[in-house]
Amino acid sequence: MSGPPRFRSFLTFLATLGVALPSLAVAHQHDDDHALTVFVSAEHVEHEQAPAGTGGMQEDSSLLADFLIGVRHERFRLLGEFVLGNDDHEFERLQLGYETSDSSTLWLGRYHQPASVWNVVYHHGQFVQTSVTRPWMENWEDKGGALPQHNVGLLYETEFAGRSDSLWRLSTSFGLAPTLKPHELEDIAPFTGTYRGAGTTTSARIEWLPRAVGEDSLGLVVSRSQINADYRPAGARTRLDLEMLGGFLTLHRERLRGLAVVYLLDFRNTNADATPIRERHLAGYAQLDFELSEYLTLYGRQEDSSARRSAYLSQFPMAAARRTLAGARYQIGRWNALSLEVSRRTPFNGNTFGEVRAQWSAVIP
Amino acid sequence: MERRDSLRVLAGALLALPAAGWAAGNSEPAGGALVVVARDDSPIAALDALQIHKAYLGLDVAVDGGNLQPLINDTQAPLHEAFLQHVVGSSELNFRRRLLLLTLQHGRPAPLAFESEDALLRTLLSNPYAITYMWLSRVRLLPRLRVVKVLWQQ
Repeated sequence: MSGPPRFRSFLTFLATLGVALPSLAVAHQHDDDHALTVFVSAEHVEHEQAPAGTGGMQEDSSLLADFLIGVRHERFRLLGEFVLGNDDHEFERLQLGYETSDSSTLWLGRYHQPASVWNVVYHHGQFVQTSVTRPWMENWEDKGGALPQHNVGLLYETEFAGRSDSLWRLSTSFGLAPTLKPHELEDIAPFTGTYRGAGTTTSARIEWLPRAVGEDSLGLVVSRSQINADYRPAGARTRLDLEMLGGFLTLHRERLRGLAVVYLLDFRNTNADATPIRERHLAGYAQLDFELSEYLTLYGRQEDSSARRSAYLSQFPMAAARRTLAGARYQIGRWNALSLEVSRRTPFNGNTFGEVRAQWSAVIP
Repeated sequence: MERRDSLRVLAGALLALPAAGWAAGNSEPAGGALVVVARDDSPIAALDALQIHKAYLGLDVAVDGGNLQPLINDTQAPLHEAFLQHVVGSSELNFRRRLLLLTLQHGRPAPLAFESEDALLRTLLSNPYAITYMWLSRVRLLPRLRVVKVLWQQ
């Protein structure tokens, strides 16, 4: 984001804190639900230069704090997630909710679109995801992500009991979609004017948990986005239609935890005076975590795509036709963890290169 | 032979250690029990294990006209370990992880945890829908409490 919107975003954060903190205090006095949790992480990455493969190493470091605020008063709810980093700060989520029943909530605001499997589970809480990185197709827009993750609009969440202790969860949303800039998507941020010229995203997710208290689940996601470009690639204004259909499976067995996701992605450039894009391919990932001991977890993830070349995805440096990674996470006490991750990544239309990442993550509950 | 006997004793001791550790983690006196309690005038008639499990994972559990407020009894490690084993069936770290996910996904707070029994009892007695877990032998020494579920009995 540019300077003024970032400044407005920070002012909004301060204003929201000004509202949220007294709300937390009031909620505390009235025994209502209230939560303030802070996730922090520091990460260092070294990677081979790509795509030239000159053999030189590039390095980068980042520091991130994620402030999560939740307030529930009678049937009204407020959920805010503000990320403060060394190169960015913004409200990742800012939602005002109303509980339409004991198990259903209608939200208005900025939310993570429900068709993103990984992000609906972990959001920005780095400490609770075992790996240092998230799969490229779940990357945030401002971190090189190629698919819409943040929307502004309406989100409806509900759940209902199934047979023999099982549970169904359903989420559906409609809101404004990010805009395409050169080599990145610009997500819609509150109070910044980024909504001008934005398209829309409709998405849904249905999930079945065989045990309501368990972590196993099976689900389907679907979304349709209109992504407008506010620059002129190939000499013409473009609008991209993205349709996505996916399935996912999560499993937890004693020391093993697994997540597998597959998406069918369909990109269409519908502008008549631009070079037409029509791509359809499968992309997915599978991650397996193994608890070697209570504190040490080993993990691996494979990300793959049925295509090696893509006119749309090759615009995004972080998009990978294939990535293989392995890592170890060592938890220190209840609230700190150190992680080391190595990976090999092949970008669309590019050459394979390697990365090493080290991370400290923590939470202040 | 002596060396073989020594190895046998050593192997026996190594095998016995985890069992001893488990027993230490459930160090309720013989014949005791791990129970869930509410205040004596609570409208909660009875609870099943699934309701208790759900409540401690931060899910809404409506019973007899109100929502359960689960309180974590962190006053002694063996008691908390017995709770993890018999109620949520997971390790401490995994339990904490689930609670963090709850906060991330829904902005909901984790159940309150108490290292002081006085503070725990004050909160328990202030809400008719509050519950916590204790050894039965301890419950018998405390006034105004009622057992709503026996979780585990020797």
